[in-house]
Amino acid sequence: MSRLLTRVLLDRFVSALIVLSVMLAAIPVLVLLLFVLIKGLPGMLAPGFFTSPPHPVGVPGGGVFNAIIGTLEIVGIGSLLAVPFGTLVGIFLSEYGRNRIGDTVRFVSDVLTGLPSIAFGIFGYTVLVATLHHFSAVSASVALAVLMLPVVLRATETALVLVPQSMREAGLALGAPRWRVTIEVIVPAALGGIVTGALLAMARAAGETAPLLFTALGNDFTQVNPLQPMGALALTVFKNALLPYSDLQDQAWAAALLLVLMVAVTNILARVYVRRIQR
Amino acid sequence: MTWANMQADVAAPTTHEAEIEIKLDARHVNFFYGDFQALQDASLAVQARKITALIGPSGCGKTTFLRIFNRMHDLTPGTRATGEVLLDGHNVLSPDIDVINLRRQVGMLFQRANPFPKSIYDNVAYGPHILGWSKQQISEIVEESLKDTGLWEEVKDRLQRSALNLSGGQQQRLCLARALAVKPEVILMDEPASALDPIATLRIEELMQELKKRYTIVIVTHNMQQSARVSDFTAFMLMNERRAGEVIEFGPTDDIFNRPKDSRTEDYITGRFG
Repeated sequence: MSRLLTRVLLDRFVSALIVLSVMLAAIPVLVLLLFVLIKGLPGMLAPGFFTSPPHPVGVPGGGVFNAIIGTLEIVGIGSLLAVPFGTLVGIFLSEYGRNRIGDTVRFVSDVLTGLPSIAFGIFGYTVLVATLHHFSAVSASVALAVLMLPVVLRATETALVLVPQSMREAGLALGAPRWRVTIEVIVPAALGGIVTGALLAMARAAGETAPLLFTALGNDFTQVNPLQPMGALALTVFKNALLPYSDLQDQAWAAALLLVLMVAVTNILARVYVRRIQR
Repeated sequence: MTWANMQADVAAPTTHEAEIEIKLDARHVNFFYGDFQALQDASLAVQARKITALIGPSGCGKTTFLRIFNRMHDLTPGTRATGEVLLDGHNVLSPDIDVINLRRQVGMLFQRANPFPKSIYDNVAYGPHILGWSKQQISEIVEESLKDTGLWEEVKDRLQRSALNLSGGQQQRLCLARALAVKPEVILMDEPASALDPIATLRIEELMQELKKRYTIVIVTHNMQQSARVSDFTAFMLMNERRAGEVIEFGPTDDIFNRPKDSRTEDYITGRFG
């Protein structure tokens, strides 16, 4: 009886501990999201937030249209550079990388993951801004692409390694060459993980500010030419939050909320898409 | 046991010498994982359109032996096979053999059903698709293969649905259909029913009896009753004192189970060990 009681009590205690841990982990995230939502909503509902570039200080209205375009373009070009290349390297690591070369790539990629994000900004500055004598969106894209690369390739590798070996054997036993099994069987089987990894990298890139400071620089006018300085939502948050004007501070909150929403929506869309093609 | 008397064992139950056709002929095969020898001097003469079973306790090298027949061991780095495995007289262990072509001729069914996470149709169509057959041909061969494995009636209305929604037994038959679709001559089965319930197992065994009219089948099984039920010939394997697998006795299934020549075979069959 007493042993049973101890067991029941222990079970309750550990269960409670687990629930508590989950709450401790979840509460800060939820509070943060709620906070951003409450603080950001007024600014977001202000007229012109989505449709017009910033107005001069003191002129009411004005929005972040330039920054929305900028974030989409900078992250978009960065993803075009990082995602295909990173995915290919990830495939190499998982399927052909059980050797010296693979280990080296893994090591370099892990070092890259640990690098502070401002270092990527300096990299973009040195490689493109300093040589072209011009701040530009594309230099920001390159900096972000290097930042995304390790995330994409390790996520791809992890997703592919999780595909059971028996799947590769099944393909090869049919007389399929290894490269075709890799492309037609293994990669589709791991597509969910690969897409998730790419999105994670894009989300991280969209939220980065430091790499943009010396590359895209920021621009209060709407600019689509990637060779010119460009605004971005993260830069709007960074700049406006420090200004002593409450309407611009509201705009910073709204820009932060918009970033969160953009990341959330892309994630949901990608999940729905992956689920559909895997059915 | 020498090569010559093994051939005699094989020949025993059939009526005329001339009718015997050896499809797959393993001669003195040794196999190494790095420095470790996993198979020693293993020989096996597999008759065409018969079912040959490999039995023996865990770790005796049955699966290792089987996987040499279509060079699946190539996939494990650091492995090496010596000796000869003749498929219609051509040594498949020879370095200049076309492995891709070999695996088309010698298909394989695995221990756990491993359908691709694709539709039922695409699973069966994958092999023919690799071979570059026309859409029309592929759709015919898919239907034919699914009929051959008794799946057609069960899945014909949901060919585009994921293969992963099928039951375990259906998945294994789908894998068999997938293997049949490239028109192999030999089918290797590595404990194909070990993860299945008795009814699904029975379906697979019935299918094997159908398939042996057209295909040569080699099956690894740890289930002696299964071997006794389905096979025409049985090879009993055992680890020797250096942990390398050996073929102890090979002959018609009836002889192995009822009149074993080797006392070790008898001990195993009667359940004294293993």
